[in-house]
Amino acid sequence: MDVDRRRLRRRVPTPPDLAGGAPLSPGRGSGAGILLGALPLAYVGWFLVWPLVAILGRGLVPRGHVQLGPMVDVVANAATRHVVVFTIAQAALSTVVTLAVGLPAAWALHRWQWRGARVARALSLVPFVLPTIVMAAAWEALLGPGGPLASWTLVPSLTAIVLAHACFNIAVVVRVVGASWSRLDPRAEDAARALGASSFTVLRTVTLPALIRPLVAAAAIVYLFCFTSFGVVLTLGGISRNTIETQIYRLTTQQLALDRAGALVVVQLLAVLLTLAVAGRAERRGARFAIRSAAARRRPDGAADRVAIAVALVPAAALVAVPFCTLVARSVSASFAGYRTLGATSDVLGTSPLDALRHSLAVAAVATAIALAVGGAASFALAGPRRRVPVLDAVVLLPLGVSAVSVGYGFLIALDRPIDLRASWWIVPLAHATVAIPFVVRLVVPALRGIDPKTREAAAVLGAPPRTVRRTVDLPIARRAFVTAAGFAAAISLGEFGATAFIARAGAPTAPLAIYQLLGRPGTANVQSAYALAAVLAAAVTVIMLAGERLEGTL
Amino acid sequence: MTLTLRAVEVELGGRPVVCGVDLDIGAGETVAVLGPSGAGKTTLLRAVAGLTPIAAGAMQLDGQDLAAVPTHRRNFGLMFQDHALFPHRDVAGNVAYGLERQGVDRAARRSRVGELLDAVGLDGYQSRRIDTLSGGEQQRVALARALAPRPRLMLFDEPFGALDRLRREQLVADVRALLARTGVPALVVTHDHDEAFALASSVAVLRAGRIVQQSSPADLWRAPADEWTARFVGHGDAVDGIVGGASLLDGHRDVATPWGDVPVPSGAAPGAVRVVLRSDALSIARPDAHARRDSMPTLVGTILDATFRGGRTVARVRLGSGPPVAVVTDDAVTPGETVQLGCDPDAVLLYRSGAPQPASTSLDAEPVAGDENAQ
Amino acid sequence: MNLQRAVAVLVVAGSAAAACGSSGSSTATTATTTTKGTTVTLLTHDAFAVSKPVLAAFTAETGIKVRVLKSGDAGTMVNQAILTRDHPQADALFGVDNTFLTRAVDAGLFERRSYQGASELLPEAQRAFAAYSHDVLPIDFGDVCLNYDIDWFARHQVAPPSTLADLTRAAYKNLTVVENPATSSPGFAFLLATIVRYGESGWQPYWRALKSNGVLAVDSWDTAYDGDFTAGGAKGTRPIVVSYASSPPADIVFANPPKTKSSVGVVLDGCFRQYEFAGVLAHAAHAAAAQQLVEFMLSARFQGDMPLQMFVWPVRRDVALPKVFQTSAELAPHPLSVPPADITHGRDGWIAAWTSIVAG
Repeated sequence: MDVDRRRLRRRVPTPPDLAGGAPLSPGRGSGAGILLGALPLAYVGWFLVWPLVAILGRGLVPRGHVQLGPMVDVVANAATRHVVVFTIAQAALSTVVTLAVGLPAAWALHRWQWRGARVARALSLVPFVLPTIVMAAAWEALLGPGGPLASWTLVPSLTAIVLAHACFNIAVVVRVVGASWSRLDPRAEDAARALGASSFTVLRTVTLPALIRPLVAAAAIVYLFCFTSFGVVLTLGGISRNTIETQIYRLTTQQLALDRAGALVVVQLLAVLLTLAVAGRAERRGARFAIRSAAARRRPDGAADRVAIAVALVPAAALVAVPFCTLVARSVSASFAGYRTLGATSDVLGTSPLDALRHSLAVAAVATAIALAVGGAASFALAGPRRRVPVLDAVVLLPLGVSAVSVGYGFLIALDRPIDLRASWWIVPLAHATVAIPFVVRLVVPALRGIDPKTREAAAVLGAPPRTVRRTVDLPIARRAFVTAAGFAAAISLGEFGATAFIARAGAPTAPLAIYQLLGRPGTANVQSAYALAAVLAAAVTVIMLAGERLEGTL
Repeated sequence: MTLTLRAVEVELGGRPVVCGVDLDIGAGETVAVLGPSGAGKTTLLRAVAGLTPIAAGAMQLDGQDLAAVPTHRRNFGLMFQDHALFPHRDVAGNVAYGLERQGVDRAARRSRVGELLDAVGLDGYQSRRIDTLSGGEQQRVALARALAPRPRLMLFDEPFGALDRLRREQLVADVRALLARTGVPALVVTHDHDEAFALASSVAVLRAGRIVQQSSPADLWRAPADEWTARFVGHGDAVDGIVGGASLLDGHRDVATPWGDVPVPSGAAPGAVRVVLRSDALSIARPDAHARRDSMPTLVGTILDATFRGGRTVARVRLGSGPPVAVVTDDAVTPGETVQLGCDPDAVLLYRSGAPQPASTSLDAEPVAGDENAQ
Repeated sequence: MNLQRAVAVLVVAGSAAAACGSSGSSTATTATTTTKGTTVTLLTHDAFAVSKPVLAAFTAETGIKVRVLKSGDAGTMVNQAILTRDHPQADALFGVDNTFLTRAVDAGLFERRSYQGASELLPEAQRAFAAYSHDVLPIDFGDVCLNYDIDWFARHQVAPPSTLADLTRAAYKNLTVVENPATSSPGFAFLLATIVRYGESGWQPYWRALKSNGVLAVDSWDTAYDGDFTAGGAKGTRPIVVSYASSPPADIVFANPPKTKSSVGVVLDGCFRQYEFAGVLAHAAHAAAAQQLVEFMLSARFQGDMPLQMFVWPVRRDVALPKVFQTSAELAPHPLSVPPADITHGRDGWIAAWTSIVAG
């Protein structure tokens, strides 16, 4: 019997005593437990899958017959191949540039403890949560007509796209790689050095191999974001540089070529899944190295260290600071004309830029609440020891790979029944929440899984029914993850552009839409307003994120 | 309050882990379930708590069937080995948790928390954070937390395993006193027979999901039901022996073992047996000492080594061709010394031979603490 | 807080709010007998504009309130309307032009009705669109023409272009910005003009010549006119742009400081005439009221307001043009045109060919 047990123990990673009955897994319980899984499924089904199916159905199943013709055409079409090749090329190039600039910054920020490093680390996250349209506006301000570097004529160009992508994604590299780098046990490096390895050899043979998992993870995330990039490519790429996503946009909105757009939606989804699979494989094959639980940061010792840190930081700092300083500088030109007119009703918008910002904040608040509720429910259902809802994890991560443009368009044709949401104020926060849910789930599930199940059992024995356990044990312990998730959800809502472009009601644009519309309209006054609004929006997002970090004491 | 278990079976992943367990815990009684890791004792405890469903059998508290009562309505107290305190609440918040669930008002909660913290010796710790407490203090908070809502039954899962010896003995005494004062029946599961004997008035030995013996600590120690149990409660290794006929002189019987001829109680039936020497069976007989009448110096052995423990010396002695045996003595001994040993026939345990013990039931001499919980 | 309950409350509240939002229109559906007190929704493009008093007069006259729903550029707006045809977001649509007309009509976007007032139309408009008279009413027209920066050409002592063919000459190398016909309606109109002028066999060589002469193509009229055009908002680098014959009056009206003479010139050769239409949407909740709104757009009052709101010409023959149009605007004497059905038929192929030549 004991022999059997041991064999079983090796085969089954979960302890039988815990995994067995475990009626107190976080998502388990009576009807409430089932609801926890059903709610997110229903939500994502209603606000993502159904619109997507509707738009795909119009394109690929016209008049009730599946037509694979467009699918074949799209794949065989030279123009499509051009788009796919460009999408992959710009994403790969952007990823390489991001890593090249981000890794030194991660080293300088996370391997060392210097005065101001904590603030710099927090600030390094900001570009990632900034709205893409703000990012595009900043680079437009720098490189576009009237900008200080207008003579380089980099708008439109691949260079501008790659620079903006790198600027946006440096934060991912700094955060994902830096977090591991700071906890890397320095003794392995010391040992290599003692064996006579030069600094570069140590980096090549010890440090980077040890960081292979976070490196692959970061590269995969960056690649995915660049692969599905929309606002940046649309603004800085001109008409001849199209990613799959902008091509879907053009085919859908301008040519009503739903068949070809639908085929591209499928192509993009498959490409994203493939990327995730390849990255997951590469990540698993990377070695796990000795990692310490606490950060092991060194203090710079002497001028050489300080110079090295400064040199490592300069490219990243320049890439982020230059466009944003230009944006701010141009927004305050003409003695703050852009800001002074923020409160005035704009002919372009049908409302004032400030109202657009207020609208955005209200939408973000509601979207965050919905995303936390739905994503939180999904997290509780997913954090249980058994996969009780097998499709759930795939479904809640679906929004990561699905074209936002298609979803936005799908909303228009699918959300008229049973209640017509299309003209409703709620459609925008509902869409934003859909986009934010995967991020909430990704942040909250690990936190919930990290809670000792005995803590829940202790609560149950003390008289707490399952939902009280969730309220009094899981939520408070995972509070930090929820706060971070809330910050992300709000930032995503404040920046969402692809889907909002279709569903925001005229006369009630969100701030990113307002910036886009103002940037595209005649008159310096409009451009000034756009830059001013972009600067204010960037400040708002920064404050929200830093407040979240501050609240949790990480700053 | 009486807890009654009848033919209780628990399965994990379709595999029976607890099989046909009968157990009674009377009012004010503390029962220990003693077993090695993997015996199913934690599973049994979790079944009683309602954390794991039972597959068959009946479980009643004062005649009320517990099967349909979810964990949070049972009003039991549970103490885990690793405390499982709420990290986001302070000491008072932890102790008050169960009271909050019962809807006790704030003032009453505060006074009850103070009362319990006082009882476990942590008065004044109310607003301390959990991560600032030592392991022993955390265990006391866990105890106060479990007792605060006046549970109908207390459940302890390896309660003191993680503590050092001194704190453990102190806490065991405190718990025993608290249980006695409140009259709460208690079920303790542990792999440590000292812990079981110290806390419980009755000890049930669980092996591979079955209870092999239930008796008072003294009876269990004195007369283990089988060879395995004898080893488990701390007696020596078993060897094969053959009980001979009664002596014509005084009627006493010997069992022939690799150690030599060992006296056995006169009622022992002749034939092949397994022999275990209880840890008090042997004593060193000095020529100048008064030999005990019933333990005639019949065996001669060589001291292998000696360990000073608890004020006495525990010597390992090579005796014949058998495995080394332990002898407790007050005298100084030196390794290599030849000694004569007296043997108390009543402390020689005989078990039926011919039912070979499966190899898989061999015990780890020192089971890893909390193995069952920490896999 | 109870998580599930909170979520349930949110979802229910959302639905309730949405239901409240649409209840006004659904109750009105039952009251089709009278249009008084109803609100009609007009789906239109971003460039739509009307003076407040004009719309107020309509409401005062008919008791019908108008909600304007702007939904992107003309192409995007029409495509959205087609997608939501079975359950439209609006009752009437304004802003579909002759390049999109058959796509919209063929998709069954409009309810067939008998419109009053067609007799007031300019004869050529009446003639050209007689086949669609039960679907839509023409409301305005304008010419898409090459514009140039008068001051730039004076400064550089170069004669401004006067024909389409001029653009391929070395003297105008790197001077022209056009719009992407896939994304911009003037861009497509200009492409049509070149197709009419040079024929199926000649338009592609013309564009190849333009391409090698450094033509710049951008996504939208805004980017071209206000970003790249030297006389536009951002003072760009290209003195020739594809825009409208009404640019000079617009340049004067929006000038700050004011001026009387426009610095934008118009090449009247190779212009494409664009008409815009309005119609009642199929499945409209308030079809009768919507028809009243569409007919109102053909009224003298609305037609007279239009030129200075949207910088277009009225299609009604008896409406006088504003002064600034009379002094500074000129229509092409021989505008180019293509029958709407031919446009719909050829569109995708033309755009694909253009894209591979210019953007490829």
